[in-house]
Amino acid sequence: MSSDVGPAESGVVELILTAAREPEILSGFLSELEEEPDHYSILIVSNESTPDQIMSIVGEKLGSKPGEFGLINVGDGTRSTGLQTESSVNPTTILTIVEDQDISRLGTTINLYLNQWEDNDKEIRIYFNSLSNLLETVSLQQLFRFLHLLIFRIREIGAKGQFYLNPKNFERQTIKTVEPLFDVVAGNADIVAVGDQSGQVGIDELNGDSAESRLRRSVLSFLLEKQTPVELRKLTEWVLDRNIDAVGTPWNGDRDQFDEIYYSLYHIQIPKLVNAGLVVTDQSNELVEETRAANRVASLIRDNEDEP
Amino acid sequence: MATRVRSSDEDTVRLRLDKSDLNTTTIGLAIADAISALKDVEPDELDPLYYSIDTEAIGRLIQHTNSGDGSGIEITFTYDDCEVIIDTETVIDITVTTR
Repeated sequence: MSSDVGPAESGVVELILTAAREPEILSGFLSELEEEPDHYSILIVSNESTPDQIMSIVGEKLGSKPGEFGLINVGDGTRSTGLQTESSVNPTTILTIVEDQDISRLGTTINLYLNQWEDNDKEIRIYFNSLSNLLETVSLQQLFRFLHLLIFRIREIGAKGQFYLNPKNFERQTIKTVEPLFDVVAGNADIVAVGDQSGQVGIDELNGDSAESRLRRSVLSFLLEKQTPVELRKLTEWVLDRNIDAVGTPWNGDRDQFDEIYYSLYHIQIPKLVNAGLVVTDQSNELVEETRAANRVASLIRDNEDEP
Repeated sequence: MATRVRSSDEDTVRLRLDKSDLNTTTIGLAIADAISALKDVEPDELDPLYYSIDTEAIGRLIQHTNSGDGSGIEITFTYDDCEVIIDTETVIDITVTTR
């Protein structure tokens, strides 16, 4: 095992959706460290376990002392930790306790560690298992801003970050909002839930209960039935005539209602299906046709449409 | 549902959407409407918006940040020589300006 490898050239930040508990995920995170512990600066941000429990897992997994180590306990401040709260990070500080409403202090604290470690020759690894409780205590907007800045910083210093979130506790849309911030998203609970279909085509665009997802499913099932290119205006009329849920009221030839569906298909829904590899359009975006890949998800659409 | 105002110098269109009218589709249509008004073309003469930005994701972000502490967010992006600014402080203001 060599320990003279320098820090990673560029940072990678991963979001891992998992329902597993802390002992399992923290052990997994530590097991992925291939070099000797001394090669790394490790920052643990957690709200789930007490500092004692975390230190015991770290001790057990690593066996020897990491190059640098920091632990930020994110909590409501009332939990008994048996350890002194520190107000700032100095070279000997291992534990900092931050109240979970105080997201700016959390950001500052993480940065103090990162600033201190940035110029040493250790590889920085960050474990962040506090997204679930932060989502419950601060607004999504605050969390989004916080993550945006933090992830930028992690990438900038070439560190590796792993962020864990239990998808069971949150709406799919909440998770969707933060997902684009990350380089990698692992463990998509939704895709597993519909039978672990191959991710080669974007079945994500077909799942869900929203009016838009229903509209996309209907459009695709219509195209699969037709098996020929369809004009977008004809497709719009068909959607309106069928009075699918996205429309709400029966169509009486009203121009505004037509425009709403037509432009929604033109600007949003059809491009989404194109990006997902399920339909193709002509150059003017006026003719729409399903792709061969669409046939592979036909059963999925039917299953979804059969639901009450 | 939405009011659209063109500035006197003709290089800005401002469109105002009530928060009660917001959903993940209306925000995209409102943006397309404001851009096409500025460029004086039909909305289907523009390139589909989704290839530049996921307006459903913007809609979801605004919906989620709406219910919080009352403070708004501002989202800025460019689309085909236009700068689009969405400000959600009290109502949803979409401003499109020629760059």
